[in-house]
Amino acid sequence: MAEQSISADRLATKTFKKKRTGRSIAKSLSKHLILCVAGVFFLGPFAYLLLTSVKSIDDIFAVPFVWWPERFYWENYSNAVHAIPFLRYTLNTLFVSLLSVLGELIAAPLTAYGLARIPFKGRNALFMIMMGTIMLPAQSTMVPLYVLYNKLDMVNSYWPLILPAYFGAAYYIFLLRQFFMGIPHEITESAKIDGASEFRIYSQMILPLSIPALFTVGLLVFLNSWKDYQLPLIYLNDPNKWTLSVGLKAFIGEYNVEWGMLMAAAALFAIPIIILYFFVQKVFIQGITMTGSK
Amino acid sequence: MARAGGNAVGIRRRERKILLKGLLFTSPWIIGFLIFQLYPIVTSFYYSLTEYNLFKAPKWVGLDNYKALFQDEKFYKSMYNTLYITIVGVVPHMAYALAMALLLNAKVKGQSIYRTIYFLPTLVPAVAGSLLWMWLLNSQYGLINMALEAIGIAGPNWLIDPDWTKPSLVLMGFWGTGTITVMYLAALQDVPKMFYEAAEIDGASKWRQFWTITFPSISPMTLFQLIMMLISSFQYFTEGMVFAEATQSMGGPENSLLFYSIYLYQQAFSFLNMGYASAMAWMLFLVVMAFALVIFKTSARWVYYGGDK
Amino acid sequence: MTMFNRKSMALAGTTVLTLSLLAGCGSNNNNGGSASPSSGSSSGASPSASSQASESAKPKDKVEISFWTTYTDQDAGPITKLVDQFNKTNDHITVKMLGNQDPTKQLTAISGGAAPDILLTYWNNIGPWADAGAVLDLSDYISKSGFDVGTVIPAAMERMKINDKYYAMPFTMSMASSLMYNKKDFADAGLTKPPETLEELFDYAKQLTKKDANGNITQIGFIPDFPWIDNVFWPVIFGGSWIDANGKVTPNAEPNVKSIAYQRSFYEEFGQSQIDKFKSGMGKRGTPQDPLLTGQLAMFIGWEYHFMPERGEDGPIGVAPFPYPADHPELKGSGMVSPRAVFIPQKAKHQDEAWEFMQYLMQADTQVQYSLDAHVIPTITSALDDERLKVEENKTMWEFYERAKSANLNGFPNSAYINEYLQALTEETEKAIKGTLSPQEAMDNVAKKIQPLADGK
Repeated sequence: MAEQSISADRLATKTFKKKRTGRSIAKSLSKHLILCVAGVFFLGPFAYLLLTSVKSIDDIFAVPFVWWPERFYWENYSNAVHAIPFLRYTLNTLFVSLLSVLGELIAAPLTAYGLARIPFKGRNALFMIMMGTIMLPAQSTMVPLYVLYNKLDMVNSYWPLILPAYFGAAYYIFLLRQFFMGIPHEITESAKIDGASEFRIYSQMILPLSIPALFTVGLLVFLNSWKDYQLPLIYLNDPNKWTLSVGLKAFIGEYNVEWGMLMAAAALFAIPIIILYFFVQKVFIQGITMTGSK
Repeated sequence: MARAGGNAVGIRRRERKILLKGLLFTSPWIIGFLIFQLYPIVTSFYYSLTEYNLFKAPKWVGLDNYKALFQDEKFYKSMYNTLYITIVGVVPHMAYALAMALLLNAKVKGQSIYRTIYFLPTLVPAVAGSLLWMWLLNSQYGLINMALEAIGIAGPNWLIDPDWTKPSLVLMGFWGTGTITVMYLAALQDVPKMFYEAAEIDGASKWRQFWTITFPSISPMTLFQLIMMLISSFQYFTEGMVFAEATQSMGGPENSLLFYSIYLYQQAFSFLNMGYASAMAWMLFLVVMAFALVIFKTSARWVYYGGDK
Repeated sequence: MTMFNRKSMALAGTTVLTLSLLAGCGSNNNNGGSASPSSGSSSGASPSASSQASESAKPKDKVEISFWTTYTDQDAGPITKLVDQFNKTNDHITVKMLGNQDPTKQLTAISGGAAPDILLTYWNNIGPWADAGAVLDLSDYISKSGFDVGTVIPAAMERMKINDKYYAMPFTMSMASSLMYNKKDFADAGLTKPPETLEELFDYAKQLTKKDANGNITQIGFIPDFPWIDNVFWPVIFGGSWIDANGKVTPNAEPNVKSIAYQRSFYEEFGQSQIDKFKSGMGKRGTPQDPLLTGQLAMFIGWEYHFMPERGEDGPIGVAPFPYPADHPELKGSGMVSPRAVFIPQKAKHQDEAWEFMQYLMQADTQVQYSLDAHVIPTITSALDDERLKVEENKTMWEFYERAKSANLNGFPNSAYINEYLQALTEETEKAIKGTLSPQEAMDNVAKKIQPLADGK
């Protein structure tokens, strides 16, 4: 169904192309120009990371700046991968991130739906309490939380990293609430009159309409879980359980930093998220055709 | 199904049923809150009324910690720095992210590539990012000051001059707007196309279309961003630490980078004044809550939910 | 409604399944990863000293103690070697080491009830942590075992003392008592020997500073607060103090104030904005573009870990004792000491075993070995003269071993409020260096801020 509408969409663009006027070409060119200029600005940091990752230590810190290294130190990559148990850390990180995504995608939409579309008593109060929990800086609850996990015998396991996702994080609940509240009531009204249960409306009408939002949440959860340093450091006491972000610290010595390897590892670190992101933003395009029906 | 008769019992039963449904749907969060959040939060509030060093039993001092806050010049200093970064940073970053999302939502060739490029900076780890900043903001050889020089402006000493350290952070913050852009992109997918088609027929300009169609349609997302950016900005920590580290002191030059959360962290984990730090945390809670309530109250005037009846 | 029930059941089922998967994987990791032969938490069977059983006989009876350090993989090689050696030779203790454990994590774990048995941390944590009751007082162990604290370099051992009790052992120490300089800069300026006194240092700095036609600095002789504000080093060089016998804090004592004024004089000479601008354009410290290596900076406060290969005989960097005030020749050889401390948490499960391991770390043999491997200064005085350290590859350390014997080494007094004190010193010193306050006013401020803490704690 979705694929069909995409191809129909493409067809439409094709016929549109033929009718292009000079003015629309100029318009599209100017769009490209803006995107390119801004793109250079945004490409900058990552390009810098990639370039640095294949530079010698002399080139990395050369003053004035050296744009293009004389010799590419590709060995930074192989050295980095061999210097730390890279595969193991990657698998650990993947494990934590994917399970967090799963948990968040189960719990957050449910809660968000309750807050957005069921007008129960105390709903607003509950929402404000939820918002309140994230207004308190984490530093002040860090130790009591550790005490709690320790009493539950969960220190040095992945539980403290993953479990919270299965109860929904306020951030994603709020985000999804906003999406759900935006869906017109007329869409669900008739189903309600037909006697459909609330869960059926949720799972068969609201969720499919919120595909872009759900993918966005999945992406953000994955990203944050993947990059998180503090929680894995605090809760994991076994190097074999470490995640990549903790593992990358191996290159940072007290007086001596392996810059080349660090940068190479950091570049590798980013690749899975880039792939995931590329996939997710494709879904946005599909999402148009799906929700376009409303 | 309950017979929805006109009598009061029926109404009450219906209400109870709705309440039950609401609680069922929100139960994941409520259970998680009761198990994992309530105890730390209550404990932290209790600590704020005590003298507590993380080891010895807390000693009750009532509101002394809160009173002491108002005598502490660094409390004001760190609050000022935090307000600065919030007021100067949040709205421009948000506007910028929205502008980018609009651009990236436009149908152009290579859309996917552009979108990916704009997201890339969010993936650069802080260690690599900070190296890049150091180079860009270097007052002598940095790219930014060299560009400024080319147009005849003598650039500031970004990382060393206490007047310029916070603007440096705001400037660099634009790179981190990738996730906001993504969320806006997702929101833009929900704007009904037929509205634009109708406006097109009416001959409304793009600018007008943005304000009458796009902006209201994505206003729920704008509310979300405003609230969440406010909260995270008030808890500004990591970037400030990285930046300050580069200048070799916790608060940066003349404490110009001593943000509220950094000072709180210092009180808690360096000075072991957990009671005082907890009072700081709750004071911040009050401030942020006040801001959030104002925003939520006014939101009725500018946020439109498609689901509103 | 049926739909809801069935779906929610399925949902709950998935969750449980995932979570059990999680648990399974967790325990898998636990078993697969452990490199030590003994199982996770051994019963803590008391190690009978009489049992002469060889190590292979009954590995299960060994007590496993956990040892956390701040070292990341990059630096962990030498300490890993020591731990392996200990595990091989000790018949009743196995040490399991974990690196990359920063102080926040250490503090959280100890306070949160999951304390390891022994930890290595920055020495200034010992004061507040000990005062709070997190750290085991070593007095009993020291007197019972007959450990002679007199064998330790006094300036290092002194840092472990809080309220007249020892709470930790200085495993290694770092020391700032040298002046490092760029030999080529010196030769270009026609300087043939390093400066002897602080007055000469100032004079040299002027000779070694160059400006271009616009008055911009192109090379600078010396920056007193590079790479960071030295709130302890400078007062030490001037013979300053921080607290007197009556418990009065003395950051504003005459030598302390003088030391701030001396730093300020460089900024008055070369100009605040000029130095700032030049500083921001200098290469990054500790890289091949280090300003001292490139000659942008001619002189630098040297620690023993700086320019390890470059300060060799034929290298570009020269090393000299740090200058002293001309009117106080008795302060010659002054320097600041900053040790790395090992301590046992009060709630540690295996304190006896941790103490045994600690003693091993403090043995002269261990210290010598570690010094050779990690190129650090041993903290046992007798180790400083050990013949094994006099090997060619360790040559750049020799003069530091000599300087570590100086009676003028000093450090900041450890206390419950040490971090507040150091923070206040940094903040006020910054103001004085920038000229917003006079050195006297700035240091008076510190005294005003810190005296109540000294009285209270």
